[in-house]
Amino acid sequence: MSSLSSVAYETEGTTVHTAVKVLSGMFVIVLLLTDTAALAAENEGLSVDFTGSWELDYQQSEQPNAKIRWLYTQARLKAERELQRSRNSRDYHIDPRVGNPQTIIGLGRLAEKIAAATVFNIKQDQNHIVIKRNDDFALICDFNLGELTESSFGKESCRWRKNRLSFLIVLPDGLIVRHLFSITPGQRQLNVATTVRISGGDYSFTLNRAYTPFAQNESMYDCKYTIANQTTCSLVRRNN
Amino acid sequence: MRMPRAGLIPVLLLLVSCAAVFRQAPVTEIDSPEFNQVELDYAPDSPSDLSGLNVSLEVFASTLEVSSPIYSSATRTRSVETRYLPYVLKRTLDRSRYWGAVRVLPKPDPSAELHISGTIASSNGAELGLSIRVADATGQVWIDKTYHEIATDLDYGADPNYLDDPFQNLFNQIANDISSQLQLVSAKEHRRILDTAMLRYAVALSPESFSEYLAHDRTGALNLLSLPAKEDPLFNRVEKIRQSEYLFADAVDAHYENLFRQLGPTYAWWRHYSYELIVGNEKLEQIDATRGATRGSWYAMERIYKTYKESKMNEDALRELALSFDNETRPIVTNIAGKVIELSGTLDMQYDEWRRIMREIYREETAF
Repeated sequence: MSSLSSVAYETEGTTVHTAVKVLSGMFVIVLLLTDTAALAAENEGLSVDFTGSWELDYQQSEQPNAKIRWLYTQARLKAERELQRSRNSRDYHIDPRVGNPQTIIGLGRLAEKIAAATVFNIKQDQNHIVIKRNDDFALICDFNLGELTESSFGKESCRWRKNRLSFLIVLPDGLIVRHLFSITPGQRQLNVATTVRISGGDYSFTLNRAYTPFAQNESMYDCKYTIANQTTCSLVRRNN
Repeated sequence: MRMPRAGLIPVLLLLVSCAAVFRQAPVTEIDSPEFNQVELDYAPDSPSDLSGLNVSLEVFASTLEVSSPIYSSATRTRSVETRYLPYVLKRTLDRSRYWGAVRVLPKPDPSAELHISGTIASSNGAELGLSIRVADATGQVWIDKTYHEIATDLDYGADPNYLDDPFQNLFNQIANDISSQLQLVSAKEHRRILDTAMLRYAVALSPESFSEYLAHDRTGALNLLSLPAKEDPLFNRVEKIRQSEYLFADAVDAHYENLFRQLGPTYAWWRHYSYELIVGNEKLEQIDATRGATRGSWYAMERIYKTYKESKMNEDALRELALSFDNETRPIVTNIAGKVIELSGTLDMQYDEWRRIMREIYREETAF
């Protein structure tokens, strides 16, 4: 795994113990509530500006396969240890239904697909941010709203967590996705930690990806989309 | 929300009616009858004296109130729907051949012979709820109902076509209800609606000259007290200006037609994905573990995310299209009484400006 100087580097919440399976359903609610209401006064994030065009820095980003392999090995070792402990102790019991390390592979593959965007175009002002991602939908946040929005698809929320901006998506079947955006001082690097977990599951998987700024106007073409003319591009004149 | 299975019931429609009987105050009646296909009623081939009322369809409102339209994905789509769905109803009313010109307008029309307003109560691809109010120029309420339809698999093809609306039964039902009310209107009442509409327009232009001809009764309905003389020059002038008003309304209506055609394909896909996500998730619960996509499987999870992503991307496209549409509202240029008038800005702004100019022209030409 490559090293990250990221301020948003996220680690996996591996085993969430299963005796609290009932509580796990409440986890989503608690997560959503804390993710929306708790830090309404936390305005320090507003001083952070993500505006600009960003492209994926492969070298600084985690490689999904390597991370899956590493986490899977760790989980297997832990499972083995627990199994061994249960054999040695009458009182120690493992619920066989949970803690399957195979889950990590599934979560990892899903995280890889969810965090596939390689280019971001971000516009931010006092009230909201629009993060356009290539081949993906835009992440949009109204900083003043501070509420969950519930749609037919599930629930969505966004909020500042200190200087990091968090987007939370809760989908049917307990699929939870969180994107955590942060930026290094001097705006040299944008870091996005994408975490995928299943409500009530034992594992989560976080993929940390780093993006560096690029000037979009360096393109020879200036393209505009209009209904009447669809996409039209014109050559950019440069004064040398 | 549990969906009906398409294999068991070919087309299941749920129409919740809050009915108003013609000439009576609207009565709310929640009822859940099941309907099969609703066929549109067409006007008989022989022209009737009672047909031909002009219909003004105001852009729909929405019950969903979110302070920031940029954030809520539902609101973003809803802003398109408030303009798109009235046009679907307009097309249905046109097809029924019961009406004169049916026009979609951004604001209430003071000269409407029949005015239709609506509120979107629910819309997510799987169900559509519309509260519809129809009133004639005299203020009589013809219909005040909430229509509700639940879509099935049969309403969605593999490649959704916006010209074949999955909720067409609902629009047919609305059109049929309105035309049924028309059958109850006597020739005398029909004449009174036309005259009242004309005078309402005159009052909007010049209240000081025409207010005396109309009065509200205790129920709030407008009573036509008398009519101006046929040779009244002021009234003749109003009639001419009203003809120009129709030209303007046609230009505005053309704008909504353009919106319908441009946004229709994207909106159809958005509905399709939304339906797939809502209904697909319910079906997933019923799939046996041995038959593939079990609830909680990775395949199922991936499918859910993929559908979510596609529907969100469609929302993005809808938002961009709607924004472009507002920005690209073309100036309307028209010639009235020898004056060339150009209106620019958003449609709402153009509409307000138009009204102001009409009053101005009237005052200039009738000033002593």
